Amino acid sequence: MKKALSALCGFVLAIPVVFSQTAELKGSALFGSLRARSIGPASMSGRVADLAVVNRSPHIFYVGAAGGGIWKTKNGGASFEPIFDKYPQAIGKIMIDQNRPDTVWVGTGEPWTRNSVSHGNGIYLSVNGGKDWEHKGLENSERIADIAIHPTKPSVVFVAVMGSLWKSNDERGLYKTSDFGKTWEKVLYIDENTGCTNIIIDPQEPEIMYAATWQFRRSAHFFTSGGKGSGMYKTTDGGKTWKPIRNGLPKGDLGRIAIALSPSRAGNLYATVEADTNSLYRSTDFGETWKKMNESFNTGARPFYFSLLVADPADHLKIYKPGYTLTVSRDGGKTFNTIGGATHPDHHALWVNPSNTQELLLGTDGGVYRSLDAGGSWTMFRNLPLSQFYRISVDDDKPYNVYGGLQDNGSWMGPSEKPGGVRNGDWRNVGFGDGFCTFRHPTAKHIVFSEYQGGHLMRVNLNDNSTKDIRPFPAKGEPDYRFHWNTPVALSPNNPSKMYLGAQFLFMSTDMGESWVKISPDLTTNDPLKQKQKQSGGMTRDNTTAENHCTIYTIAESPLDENIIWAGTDDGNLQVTTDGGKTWTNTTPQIQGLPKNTWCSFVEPGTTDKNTVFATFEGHTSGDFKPYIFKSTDLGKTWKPLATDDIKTFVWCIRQDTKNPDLLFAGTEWGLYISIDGGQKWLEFENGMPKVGIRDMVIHPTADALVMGTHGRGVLILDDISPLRAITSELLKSNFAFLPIKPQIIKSGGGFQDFSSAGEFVGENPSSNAKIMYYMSKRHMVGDMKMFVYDEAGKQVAELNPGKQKGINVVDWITRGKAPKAKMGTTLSGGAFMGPSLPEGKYKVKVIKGKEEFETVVELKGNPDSEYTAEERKLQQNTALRLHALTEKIGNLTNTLEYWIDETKKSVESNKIPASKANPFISKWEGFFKTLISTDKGGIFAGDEQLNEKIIELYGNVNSFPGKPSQSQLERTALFENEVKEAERVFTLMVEKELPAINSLRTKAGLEPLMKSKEPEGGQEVEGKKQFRKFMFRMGWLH
Amino acid sequence: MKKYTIAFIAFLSVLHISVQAQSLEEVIENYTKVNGSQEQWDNIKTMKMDGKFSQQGMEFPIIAHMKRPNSVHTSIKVMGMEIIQAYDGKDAWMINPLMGKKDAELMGEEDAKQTKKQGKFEDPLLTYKTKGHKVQLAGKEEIEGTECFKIEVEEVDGDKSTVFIDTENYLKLMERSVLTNAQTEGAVIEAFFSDYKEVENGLLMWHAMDNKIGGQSMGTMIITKWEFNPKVDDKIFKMPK
Repeated sequence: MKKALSALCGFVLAIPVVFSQTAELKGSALFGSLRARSIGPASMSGRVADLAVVNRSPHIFYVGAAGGGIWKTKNGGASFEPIFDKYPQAIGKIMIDQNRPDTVWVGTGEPWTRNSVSHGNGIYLSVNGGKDWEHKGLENSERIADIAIHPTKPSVVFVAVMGSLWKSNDERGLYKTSDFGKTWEKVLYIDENTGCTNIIIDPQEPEIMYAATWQFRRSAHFFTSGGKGSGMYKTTDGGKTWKPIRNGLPKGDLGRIAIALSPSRAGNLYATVEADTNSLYRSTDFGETWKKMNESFNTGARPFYFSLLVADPADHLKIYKPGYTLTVSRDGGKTFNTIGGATHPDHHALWVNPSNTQELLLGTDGGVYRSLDAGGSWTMFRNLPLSQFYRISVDDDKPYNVYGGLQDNGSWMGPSEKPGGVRNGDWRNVGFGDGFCTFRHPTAKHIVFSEYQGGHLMRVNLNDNSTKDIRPFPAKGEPDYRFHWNTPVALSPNNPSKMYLGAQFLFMSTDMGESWVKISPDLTTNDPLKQKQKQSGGMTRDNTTAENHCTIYTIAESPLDENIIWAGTDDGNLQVTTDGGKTWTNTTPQIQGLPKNTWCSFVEPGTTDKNTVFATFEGHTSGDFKPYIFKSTDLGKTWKPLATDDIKTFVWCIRQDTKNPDLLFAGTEWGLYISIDGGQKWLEFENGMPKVGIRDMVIHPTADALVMGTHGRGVLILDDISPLRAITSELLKSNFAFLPIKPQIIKSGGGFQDFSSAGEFVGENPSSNAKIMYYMSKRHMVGDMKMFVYDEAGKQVAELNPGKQKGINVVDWITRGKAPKAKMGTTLSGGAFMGPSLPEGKYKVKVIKGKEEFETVVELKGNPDSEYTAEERKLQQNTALRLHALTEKIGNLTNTLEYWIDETKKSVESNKIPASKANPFISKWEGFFKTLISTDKGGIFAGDEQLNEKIIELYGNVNSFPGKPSQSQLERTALFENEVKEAERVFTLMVEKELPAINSLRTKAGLEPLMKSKEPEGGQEVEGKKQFRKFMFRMGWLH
Repeated sequence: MKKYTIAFIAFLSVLHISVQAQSLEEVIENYTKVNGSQEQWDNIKTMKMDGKFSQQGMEFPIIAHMKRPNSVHTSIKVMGMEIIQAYDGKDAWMINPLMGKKDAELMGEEDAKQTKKQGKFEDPLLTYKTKGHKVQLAGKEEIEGTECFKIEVEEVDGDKSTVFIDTENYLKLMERSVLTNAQTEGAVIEAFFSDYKEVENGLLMWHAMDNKIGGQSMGTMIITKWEFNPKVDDKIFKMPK
């Protein structure tokens, strides 16, 4: 019967080959357990678009990030969990049904329509507090600004759909559902250029509602706020009919409007209105008439970014104005006071606790703050890694550092790993304003380049924190230089002293920016119609360099030829020179299928062939969200499209692997896509990877890591891309195949004691374990699957739990031997929990899968950069093994003694052996036992330390240092060997003389004789122990 | 029985039936053919599970006894100490020397819930019609790259879980539930089942269960032996006085 079983299993396993063709392959079925990790930073956090708090339990709240998804806390912000990673990460509005707080509506697509804003794909509903989400339509809404739930009918929900920022569309206006989002009805619609930004239901009389509409449009080079479509509307019949409200509001066109209703006084409303003069208005008669109250700076600043008003829940004369800062009026809007002083400027969300109006939560461009004294002081939540990178780079330190610039949060550098994890304090600020390209000089290690908006390039000296502005300026007779908001800077991969900077011209410097040589003519279209940023803004002028256009946006020099330089522009040119800048050719006219003037978002010269180039284009600023990836193998003379339907949105960047030219990575607005066949097929990578915009990424040349700069989730790292290099269509056909495993470098050094990271985000480190990787064409379900590791002598050193999933499996192997079987006294000896490092060498890995066996080899290598010689490491390992043996010997001895004592006491208690005969043995054994192991019941604080504890401590100390043990340690090891020998001599006498005496008494009493030896249960690997405790805890075994 | 089970799996694989839409009844019917019918399960009055909990090379021996209708006794050995959790249909109790207590004590209400779940003998997918559990086929979902039927289960006592049955073998691939014990209330745990092998009475039983929280493995339960209808002393389920 067994034979039949295995035969059939083999049969079952052999079938799926037919089905696993590359064409049908999905990312989830290939990438298996490969996973990206996050290193933050959260020090400065990132833009928050909305906050939603459960009013009855304010320790539960949701943070809606502009580009970083939704984070939920259940403990007042001590920790947050991302709960929306499978969906677009740009959040517009989160609305909790306060009567049923597990019902949460989320409108995606940010409503704060700055130039760098991300988009969404409709509305979602969760009925279990954010555990599961269901898409509820409004797919083409692009951005949702507001949601209102009917106070007594939970199935009735109104949604203010702003609609597209970049083009006309008719999926906008006010929508109503009466069936929890199954169907939608458009109840207020102006036109295809006007969206709805506000919806308020009167809590006492829900038939009365107020709505604001806004006409707006942004392009790559211009922004318009306001027009005929903007207005304020009121219904008194639950949304069936709407009438415009104008009485008391300014005449003429309006811009963006924010309305707030005071819950504490019927009919009391406030509104900020963008008009000729942006002002605050108040109504006390249910919006029928309005009176102008105030036109201070913060009430009217940047309506497209700050149109938000929050009425105090208890005091109808109190109104909050989040804006450039946070101001509050306590006299019905006549005067305002600043209370947001100590927070990051630019405020988009505010919650006032209805049960205690002293408590405020504030969402800003730099994270979330809480005040418990009505805005007098603020605490920032330092555990929300929402940082929004524009560009990113790495250096070649070990471990390497990551550099990048952020939306409104300057430029930063931080380590890719750190003992204990990458913490906020590990990140160093190296810039101002909005940060963009940030690089370390390849050879002058103390020099970092960073920039702020509009081409303000700076050279930062890390030694003294001095910064020098190193922008080039136009000479007499030259036109003004046009620098993009996000001005490109590039280092030469061939010449460490060469760097490039792009305006409409390309500049090159070989002296760290002290001087610049213009090496190109104007490479853009120089279209004067696209250079009207000085008039940009619509009703409220807004010219911050964000609309600068007809500029170079991406620059790259071929890593294979210093004279080949590519420059892509925001107005759709991709220029190349092959003679270091003497002559330039625009290559985009040769690209078929690319709409004219589509923004060139990234250029990646081939890593293995200098005539090859990859380029991405994106037209989202003209409403074209299609992915464009092109490849040329003849320096841009002809192009081939690589983007397929697999990619669901537009593409920011592309990288070609440095070792396998068919392995490509595409960073899109909604996450990472990978191609293993040169771009014929793209697979979405979702493990540890939210659907976040990847604005830039880089493959670390020696660490083989893909480092991604995301616009909302900080830096994400895919640590080892080498398994992806090995995936071929041939390999995909095999049921089971090991992937090549890089030699594992035995790491040294650990962390130090640190308890201060509670409440702070700590970035995950790469695993320091050896990784055994294999591919399976289908999940292992039937029959055994086991994994063993053997040393060169064929001795089994580990049994591991093999991964069983379809695709790539990564199995972690802690490269240590077994921890000693130690005996714990009353003083805990932590050193015994760790096994000794396994020696360098080749280890055989065997997988048994049903009847089949597969083998591969993993090599453990010493750290070539280690300060300790191979000889010293050998001495360390030998000494650790000597102490390991001593720990087990003393453990065995003490455990046996304890067993004798316990059993003999039991036999006395049960009157099997007379006390008079047993007690002399017991007291002798106890006396001996006490000299060998701690027995003081005071536990860990009693300080009892005997031979057992001393040996284990020495073992732990020698074991945890990767070099030569100290002379004192070596001498002490020899000393302990003698002491253990002496203890064993005494013990042997007991075994020979005393044990037979007791055993004869036992035999007479009908008891089993005592054994000569009883070894203790093993100690455990300390990391594993933590994990295990965690599991036990979760399962309720530990309390 | 044994032969039939295996042959049926192979048959399904060849036809690749999974691509067609199926009703809950059809899915359960196939699941029953592979996993054993209610009658087969009805004949089992007691069960013993022998195995280990394994995590990164560490192993902790586990022995569990179960008896109809809902008694359970689980023993796990850690560092030479035995931890016991048990439920006799009335009281859920534990002995946990790891926490410094050598005597049995009653569990708190939330913690008890988790233990009571362990005592459940019946598979609600097999008994839902007779026992009145709410079972609903919620379409198909890919679990770690493998296509599964997604079945939402709400038992009569209110316990909820989501069961994923792979569309190729009709074996339970994963069960997702929410932990109810006090410390971790609300954490979602996913148990991935594999290493299905036939056991003495012809049933096809899993022999490995990997527990994941947030996609990270918390450790694997490896079963070395299932025993059916062993003699079990009722006393072990009762809390020692």
